[in-house]
Amino acid sequence: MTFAIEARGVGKQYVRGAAHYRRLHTLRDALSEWAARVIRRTPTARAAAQTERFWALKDVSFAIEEGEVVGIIGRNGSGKSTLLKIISQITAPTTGEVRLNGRTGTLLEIGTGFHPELTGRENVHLNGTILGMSRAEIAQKFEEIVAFSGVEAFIDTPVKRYSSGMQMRLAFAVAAHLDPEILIIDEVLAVGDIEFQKRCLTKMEDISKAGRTILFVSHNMATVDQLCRRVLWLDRGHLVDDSTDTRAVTSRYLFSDEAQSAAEWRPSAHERPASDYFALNWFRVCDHAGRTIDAPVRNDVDATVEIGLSILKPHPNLTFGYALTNEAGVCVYWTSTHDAGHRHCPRIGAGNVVLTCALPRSLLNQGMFRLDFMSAIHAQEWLVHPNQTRTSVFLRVSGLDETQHLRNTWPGVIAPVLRWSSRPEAREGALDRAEQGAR
Amino acid sequence: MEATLVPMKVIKPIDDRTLVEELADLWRGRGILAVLVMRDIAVRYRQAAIGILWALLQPIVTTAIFTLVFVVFIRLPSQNIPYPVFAFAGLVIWQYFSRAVSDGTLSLVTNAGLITKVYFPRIVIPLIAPCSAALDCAFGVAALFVMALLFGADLQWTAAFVPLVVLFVGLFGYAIGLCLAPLQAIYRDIGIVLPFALQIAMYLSPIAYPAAIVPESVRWLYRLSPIAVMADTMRWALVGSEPPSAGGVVLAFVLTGLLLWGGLNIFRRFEGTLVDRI
Repeated sequence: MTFAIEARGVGKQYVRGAAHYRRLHTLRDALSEWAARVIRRTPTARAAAQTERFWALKDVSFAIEEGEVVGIIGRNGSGKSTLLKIISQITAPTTGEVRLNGRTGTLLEIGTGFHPELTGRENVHLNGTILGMSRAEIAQKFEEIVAFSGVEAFIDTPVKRYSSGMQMRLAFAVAAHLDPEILIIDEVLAVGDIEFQKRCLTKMEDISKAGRTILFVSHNMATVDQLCRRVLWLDRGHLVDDSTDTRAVTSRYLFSDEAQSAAEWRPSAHERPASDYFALNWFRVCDHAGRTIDAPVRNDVDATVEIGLSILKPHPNLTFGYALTNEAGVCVYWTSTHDAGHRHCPRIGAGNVVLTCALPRSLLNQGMFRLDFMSAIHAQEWLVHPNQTRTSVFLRVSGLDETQHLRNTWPGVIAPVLRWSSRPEAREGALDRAEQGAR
Repeated sequence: MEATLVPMKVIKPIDDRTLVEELADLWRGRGILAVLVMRDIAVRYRQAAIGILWALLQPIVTTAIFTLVFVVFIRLPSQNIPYPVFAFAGLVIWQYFSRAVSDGTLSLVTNAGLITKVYFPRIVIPLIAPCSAALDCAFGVAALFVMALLFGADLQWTAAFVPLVVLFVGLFGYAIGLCLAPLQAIYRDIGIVLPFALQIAMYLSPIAYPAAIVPESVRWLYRLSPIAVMADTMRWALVGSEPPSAGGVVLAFVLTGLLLWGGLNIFRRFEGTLVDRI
């Protein structure tokens, strides 16, 4: 049996700092680091250099058969994107190897290489070639691609004159006509409107029906359930689950957030968001009596989000807040102290401060929610970005109110209780009379 | 069915890649190189009213200024070829080299959006600039022929070597680009220093003046510079001026060969983790 994709002991080590976290690495830094290392070869300096390295992926092995549609799930920073980048050859593994049997197409982004100055026609050729199509292939499919995109009339116009929707449609048309044996897709579906996402999903279903192998990274468990026949679950660089029972894995994944993360966040040795401006002391959701909510609650209870802080350096634009995400990975809302404008934001002076914010009542749907702490200097810089933090607490909403609490989940991202009223239907003419009467 | 025809691809840590694989990559990437070169050329002169003529204007104006300074002001001892032809021949070579090196060095950074999102042989990237600049250079060479005829220089049969000279300069530029592009991707210092370094190199090279006016004792230094040798070769090929020394030409070939080999190795070292550090 030959596998379409076979990974053996794949590992990827990054040097913390050089990659994302520190400011631009300059030649001077490299030279001075090198000089420092040469001058004093102390073991402590080496140990420090060791701690700077971390494994984004560690010893990941799996084999995917031809025609399988496989979803990769895991939290931010779990190594999903790194794995995808290694399989698509964008970055090299540090250890191990990957064997690919068949032509590979990567879609980490729609419209890679599009140039605004070039015409639609030129961009189709450019993008198609970059994605791995041959000239003959593009020439053969060109009419089809253009027809699919629906921008025939503008095909010889520079793409910079296109609306963003047109650009997206053209780029997607090219991607959709890519016909690799192994297709690697990352969150492409996360962008674009519903219509666009639907088309992407339909196209992916077509591709999988044609017996192609698809590797698909997503935060959206519903999509993974629907599309994939197998799931790989990555956590902190390790492959923790690999199963064909997708539904079981995805729900276990969602549940794991609950198990691993408490309803109350307290600083630990290795993790404490802090900056020159503040240090976070705690972050939790509590009830009206000040008790942390660690059990499922109805969506109409009084609940308050509490942020305990030590303000080290007050700043008029210092902002705190949180992002609320549901279990499908959909952001429900962001809220921060500056939402109501400068004049209405709470005073945050030096010393220990407790910020509180009532959770909206009768708004959240049933399910698991994650609250990610965030902080910024308003409109200037992020101090803690909600998508990049692990400072999170969890809340399970179960039951909407007394009358509905037996229902499973209400359709929709939110389940607001809205006010309805009724009035007798006005007959013809009656409306006018009623209006006149009102005057 | 088709899958069996495609050889299995193995992705390994970078240290395990060989030079042969790298060269095979270069060949595999020729299609994408062609489109990226076309993109470069198309984008460069689109929406410019006089388009590709800009490629000529710059060396012509520079030649005029050099002529003014060196012939009218300084009264450089006249060569056996008209000075404007002499200077223009040098400038065509120099500008091609300079663009190949500077654009080639920046190439990984300017194409970061591509290389972080899709795989294709990275080794073609520093080659885009030498290829797209070759078009400008071709126009320059055409203008050079016209100019040589206008000034009454007698063209030699050796003019057939001119394309080879251009090809060689392109290779030399590519070799330097291969060395510098990965460094520029990681340390932006290179891109800051480079324009200045190129400018100094131009004044040190016999582009605007003949090597003959340089004191004998240091003239051997010019033979170490492939670009100086190529400027002289260009003039010799075109109008039969003093031929370049055979030693210089051989050295230029050896140096360029070494630089290409070294550049390929440097590039190979860096390309696997480039994306993580760019």
